[in-house]
Formats: sequence, C-alpha cells, structure tokens
Amino acid sequence: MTERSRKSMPYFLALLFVLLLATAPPGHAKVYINIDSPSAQKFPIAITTFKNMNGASAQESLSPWFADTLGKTLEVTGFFNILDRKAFLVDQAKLGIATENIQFPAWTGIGAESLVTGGFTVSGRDLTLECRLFDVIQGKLIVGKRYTGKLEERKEMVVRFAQEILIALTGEKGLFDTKIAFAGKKAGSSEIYYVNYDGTEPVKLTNFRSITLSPKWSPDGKQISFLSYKDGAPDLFIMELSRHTVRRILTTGRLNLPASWSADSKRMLVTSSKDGSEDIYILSVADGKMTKLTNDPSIDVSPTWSPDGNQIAFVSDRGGTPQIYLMDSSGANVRRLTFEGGYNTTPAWHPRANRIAYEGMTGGAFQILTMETEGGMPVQLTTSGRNENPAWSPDGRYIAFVSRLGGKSRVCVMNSNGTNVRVIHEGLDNYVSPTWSPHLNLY
Amino acid sequence: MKRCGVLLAILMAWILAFTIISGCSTPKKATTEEMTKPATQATGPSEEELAKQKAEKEARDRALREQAIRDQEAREQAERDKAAAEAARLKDLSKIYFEFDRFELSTEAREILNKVAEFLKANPKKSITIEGNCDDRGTNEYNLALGQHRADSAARYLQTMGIDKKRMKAISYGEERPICTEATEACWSKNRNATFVYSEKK
Repeated sequence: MTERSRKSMPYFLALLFVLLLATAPPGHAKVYINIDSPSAQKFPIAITTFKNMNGASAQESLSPWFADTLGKTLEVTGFFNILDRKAFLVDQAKLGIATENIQFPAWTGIGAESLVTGGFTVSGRDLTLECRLFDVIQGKLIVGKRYTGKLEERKEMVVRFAQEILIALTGEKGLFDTKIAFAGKKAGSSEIYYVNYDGTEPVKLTNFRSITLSPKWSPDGKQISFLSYKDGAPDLFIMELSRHTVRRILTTGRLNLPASWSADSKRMLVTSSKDGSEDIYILSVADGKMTKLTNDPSIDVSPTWSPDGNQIAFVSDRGGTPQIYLMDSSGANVRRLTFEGGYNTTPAWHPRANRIAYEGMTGGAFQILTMETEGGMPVQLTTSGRNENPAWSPDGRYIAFVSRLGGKSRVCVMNSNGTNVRVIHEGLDNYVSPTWSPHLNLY
Repeated sequence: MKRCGVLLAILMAWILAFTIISGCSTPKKATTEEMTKPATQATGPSEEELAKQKAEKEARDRALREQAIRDQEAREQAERDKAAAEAARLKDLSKIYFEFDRFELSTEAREILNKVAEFLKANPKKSITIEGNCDDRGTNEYNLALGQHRADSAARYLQTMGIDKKRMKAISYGEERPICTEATEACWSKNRNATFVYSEKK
C-alpha cells in the first residue's frame, strides 16, 4: 500500500462500516434459526412437490417422493415445522420453480418463512436434480444446487440438499453424516450396535456372546473402543471400523474401562484397577504406556476430557457419595463440581462449551442434567421415566441418552434444550452408554 | 507232517501236565475225607452231599456278593454325603452382602469371611474367585467399579486372615449378572453381593 492510501484507509473503513450497517445483511449471514435459544420455536418451511422437468413417464411418483423425503429428513432435526401441502395456496411446481416464478405472497400468506422448490430430470437411469431454497419474507433465493448422478442415488442427493438448507439457516451442515453406537443387552449378554443419527440402518458390530459395554467412538471416526469380558476378564478392546477387526489393548486381570479419546485419537482416558483401586489413567494407544492421574483409595471412574484437553471431569466417591469432580489434565487441582443430590455420574463434556451433561438421582429417579463447569445451578432436561448416560452430538446441539419408561428401555436423542425427544433404537432388553460419532463425511 | 507230529506231542504233553496238576489238588481233599470217614464213604461223597455242598457254596457266594454291593453303596453314599456337606458349607460360604453404594464389610460378612478363610486353610488345594456384584440402580460404569471394590474388600480381608494373594482372584460384574430382576428392595439386596466360587488350584 502507498503512503497516501494508508492515511485514507481509516476513513474508507469507517465509510464501509456505515454502509454495511445501513444495508440489509446478505442472506447467508442472517441468523434464521437460533439453536441455542431455550424456547426455540420450530421454523416454518414449505416444500413443494418436485417438478418432473422432462415429463418422463413412470416417474410421476418421484414428484411427491422428493418433497416427502426432504421433509422427513429436515423434520428429524427438530428445528423445522414442515407445512402441510394441503394448506398450499398455489401449485408452485406448475407455476415454475425458479426465482422469477415464485409467488412470495402466496407463501408468506400461509405462514412460511422459507420455501423449497425442486425439479428432476430422469433419462434412463440417470437423474439430474435441482433444488432451490427461498427466503419468502425477503422474497429472494438463498441457495440453489444441481446434482447429477444415478436414479438410485436420489436419497443421497436429498440429504445433500438438506445439508445445504441447514448450512444456510443454522450455519452448520447438521448431523446427517453421523452415527450413534451403544451397547444393547439381550438374554444375559450384551453387544455393540450403531445406527444412523435418525435411527435408520442398525448394524450389529460384535457377536462375542459375552458382556460387552461402554463403546467410545474415536474423534477420527475410524475406531470404537469398548470393554468386553469375552476373554474371561473385563478387558479393553478397539475395533477398527473399516474392516471390523478387533484387538485387545489392555488386560490386567482386573477392571479396565475405556473412556474419552484425546482429540488426535492417539490416547484415551481409562479407568483401571490394576494398581489396587479404581483410578484414572491416560493410555497411549500405540504403545500401551499408562500415566496415572488419580491416586486414592476411593472409586474414580468415567473420566471425560474438556474439548481443549486441559481439564478432565470424572466421577469419584471420595466425598462419600458418587459425585462429579474436575481436575487439570495433569491430575492436579481436583475440585468438586456437583453438590445437589446424592448420586451424580456419567459426565459428558460439551464439545464446544464449558458445560457438562450428566445423570443425577433426583426425585427418586435418574434424570439428565447439565451444569456449567464454572459452577452454578444444574438444569434438568428430562422429567419422565429413568434417563441416563448422556452423550453430546459433535456440534453440541443434541444429546443421545438411554431412557427407561413403562418397563421398556430405549436409546433416544433430544435437542440440547430437552425438546424433541425421539427414539433411535428399541426392542432389546436394556441399553447402555451411547456414543456419538464425529462427522463421517458421507455426503 | 513232521511239524504236525511235534505239535501233537506238545499238545499231549500239555494235557497230561494239566491233568496231573489239576489232579494233584482234588485228590488231597478226597483223601482227607476218606480218612475221617472210613466206614461210610468208601466210594466218595453221595449225590445228596454234593448237592448240599453246592447249595451252601452258592449261598455263601451270594451273601458275599450282596455284602460287596452293600459296601459299595455305602461307600457311594458316604461320598455323596461328603459332597453335600461340603456344598452346604460352601453355600454358607458363597456370598456376603452389602449396603446400597457401599463396599464396607458388615459384621455378618466378616463372620462368613472368617469361615471362608478357615475353609481355604483346611483345603490348601482350593483357590477362590470373588465376584463383585451390584443392584441395577445406579450407573453401569460406576457399578462395574463398585463391584470391583466390593470384591477387593473381601479379598483384602481374606489376606489379613492369612490367605495367600495367589489363591484369590477378584473380578467385578457390576450390575451385569443379576440373580433377580424385580424392582424391589428384596431383590436389590440379593444382588448387592460378593460371590465366592471355589476351584481346584491350578
């Protein structure tokens, strides 16, 4: 920069700033859906049937299929109120799906804030899909995408556009490319399973016919650690997910429990009673080296790292009852976090904030609560039945947990404010310790 | 032909020898009898006598067999009684119980552990696996740790009673192997235990 322009720079910036304030902000910077608002209302969105662009015969059923599938995909997020097509005032597909065809008043008139239109062209087994998301209040296009591929990839295309919608309206692509693993018990033995984040496509990962529990998904998405008695004692194993190969990484003849992984997936926190009492160690996965963090005769269990790796939350009964404590990741500076209630366990550290979700005995039953790590009052998220083992989603917007109600056990997901509880697996005798994968970049 | 002749000679020699040997024994008896009863048994025992002797012999054999059977049964019964007594004793020595969320040993638990120690001292070939269990209230992970703590509590006590660490194994099953599943205090208290399993030391 020249001397002269440097002097006039501040004035130029000031002018720019004023101009920016004066004009309406660009669509992608607007906060459409405030996830963190405790009373977040569902965002009303209208999705038209998709237009059959080349009128290909035998593909008419795809018109509503695309709209229905996109609607269901968005509904699972819990952020949207998918408006009923029966209330629509116009047949937008007939009128046209591009910006110039949209009759925005017809959409604001039914209470929509966003509109999705789409068109598909099927030629043989080839499919081209175009989708557009409109801000009907401001009367403009937010994002439009075109996908080309095979007819059998149509679901994938829908999910990809759902991700675009979420990026545009919430700032993030959502959790469609994540999975949730958990332990399920049946007839005296327990195995590890996982499902998609919407509960579809369950997969049984182990078949040891033994007691197998406490799965923990690694941050690189490639491994799941777990506890199993399959070799006769509670040992620690890692399953490598691409080939389902299992290797034993810690056996001591005594209890070994896997806990949270380090961010680089190279180390993990474990509870081991190899030195006499249940203590917390850092285990280096590659060479098995263990570093002891706690050293007292009480029970110290269920450790979890803070997202920056500098602190650890864990459960200890050193004060007489099971409570949640914090310590530096060196093991120093142990301090108690929970003081309400006589039994507080399974802490899960929010992936982006200094907040812990945990289960606490309150009113005679376990419920999921959250608490800031600086201290303060716990916030109760669940109220009916028995709710345990919380696990945060990678964006911190959801919590997976186990719910027992009416004698049935289920794996559930709720929004981080406790709303929108949905079931992602049921049917087994009992469930334990769900763990949420990182983004697996499937779309 | 020559070989046949040799074989035949050997065979005849065998028969002759056998006859002589077997003939050697019986004549003794006959001779004795003859000497004590010279007048009446000039030609040997009568058919009646023989039948009587045979009957007596059979009766004796039968009695011996029955006695053998009774002895065998008695031995087997004694074995069963011994096993039952040991099982009963081991049953008394198979479990100790704990309060909710606690791993301290009650007075009752200590009494049972004292007997366990005695049993182990009296049976040096036996080793013991102590299984720690919990009721299903509370968290699975915490209960796995608590179960280990309970098993260790019992093991440490036995150690102070003089039982070698090498004879003991302490394993936790947490709440994973309940005896009963009702949501009642009666059931929960049964599940809060350390269970002792005895085996031959390897």
